[in-house]
Amino acid sequence: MADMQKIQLDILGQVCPACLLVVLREMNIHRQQLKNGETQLIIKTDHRDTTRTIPESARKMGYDVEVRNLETYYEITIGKK
Amino acid sequence: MITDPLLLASAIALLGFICGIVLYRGDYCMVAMLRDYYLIGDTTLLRSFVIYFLIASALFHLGNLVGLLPFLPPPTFALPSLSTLAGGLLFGIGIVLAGGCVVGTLYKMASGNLINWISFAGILAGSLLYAEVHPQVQLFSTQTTFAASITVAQHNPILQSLILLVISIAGLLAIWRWSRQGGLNVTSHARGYIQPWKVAVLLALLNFFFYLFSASPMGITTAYAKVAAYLERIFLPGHAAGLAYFQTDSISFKAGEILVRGGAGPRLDYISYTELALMAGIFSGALAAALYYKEFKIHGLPPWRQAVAALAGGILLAMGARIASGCNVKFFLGALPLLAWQGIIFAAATVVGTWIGTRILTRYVIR
Repeated sequence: MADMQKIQLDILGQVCPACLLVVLREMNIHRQQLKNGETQLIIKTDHRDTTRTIPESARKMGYDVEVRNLETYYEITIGKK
Repeated sequence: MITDPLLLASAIALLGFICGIVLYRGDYCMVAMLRDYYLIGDTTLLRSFVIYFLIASALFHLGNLVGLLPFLPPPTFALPSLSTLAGGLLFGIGIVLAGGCVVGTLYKMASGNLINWISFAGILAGSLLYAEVHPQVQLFSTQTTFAASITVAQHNPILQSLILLVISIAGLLAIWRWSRQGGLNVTSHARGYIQPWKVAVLLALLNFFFYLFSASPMGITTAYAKVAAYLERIFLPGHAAGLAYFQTDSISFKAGEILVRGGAGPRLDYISYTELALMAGIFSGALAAALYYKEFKIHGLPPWRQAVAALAGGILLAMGARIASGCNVKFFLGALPLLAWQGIIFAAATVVGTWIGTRILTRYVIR
């Protein structure tokens, strides 16, 4: 989808659990757009454990999740594929 | 126990190094264990703690039975008091704000996250702050001691056996149920991830060896006080020399003919060979892992609210640990499996403290 809105969240170097909390909040705010596939959340994080907790929470809410290992951090994408 | 200082320090540093690698790879955060349950109902890490408890408890008690661990209760344990309760509460609030406990801060520092370096500075500052009020806190502890025994076993051996039996049966049943519900393994995308239940097993083994080598299960916070004392001696030598906390030994016991002594003061002693060696080992091990997985990176300063919270959290958790004379490492990993009163009371207070800390964090820090 060309007109998909991509929301970038850079949580590198922040306190644990900032990543989890910010993502949960954004998922709530953009619930409708995420469900319709109009929006994707793209998160950059260096919290290793969030590569477990965020995908788990997002999948429970019915979203597709993809995690990529980049340079020194992780990129988590949430939304419909 | 290893009585040769150099040998003891080397053995403990090696245990610490392995511990650092394991904790980093599993991102085994004991703050997340409680906090993430409050936040999202995640019980993965709590479940692994049940496994830790059962294995550590079995190893410690069997080790004592066959004569490998003759020091029971260990010389670093003491009678519980209201200080244990108050300390645990402050500690619980502090670790959530700091985003890591005393050990978590160390292994997270190794990835280059500045927020954890800020809490590290906070922990040192909190330790120095405590040194100022140590005599008053100590008086309070002696006045509010509320048990005549260190462990449940000293109070009543039958009660201890009963409690351990009930916990073991309940724990094994729970583990059996979890493994039927889809296994204990979880999905993580972190490089070199180690499953939480495996970290729990490894930690129990490491703590057994720590106990075997040093006469006590793992402890680490007095090492922070020691580092802080060395720093204070450089900048305010006159003041540091006048503080009772840095002059007296917090531990003194006999290993055979040898008198073993240690404290927070700026000198080489038992604490240097055990806690300080463990601290150095954990940091090096975690740093080695972070470099190996190419994750070491300094991302710049965190948002100011988080920085303030990390500093305050570090101070609070250090004050809490000093007031209770130990932290989650000594009390959750050592005193709980040994059913020592201090562990039970500290753990209960920490569970409440982390809940309060989580409320503060979500309301004022991360918005």
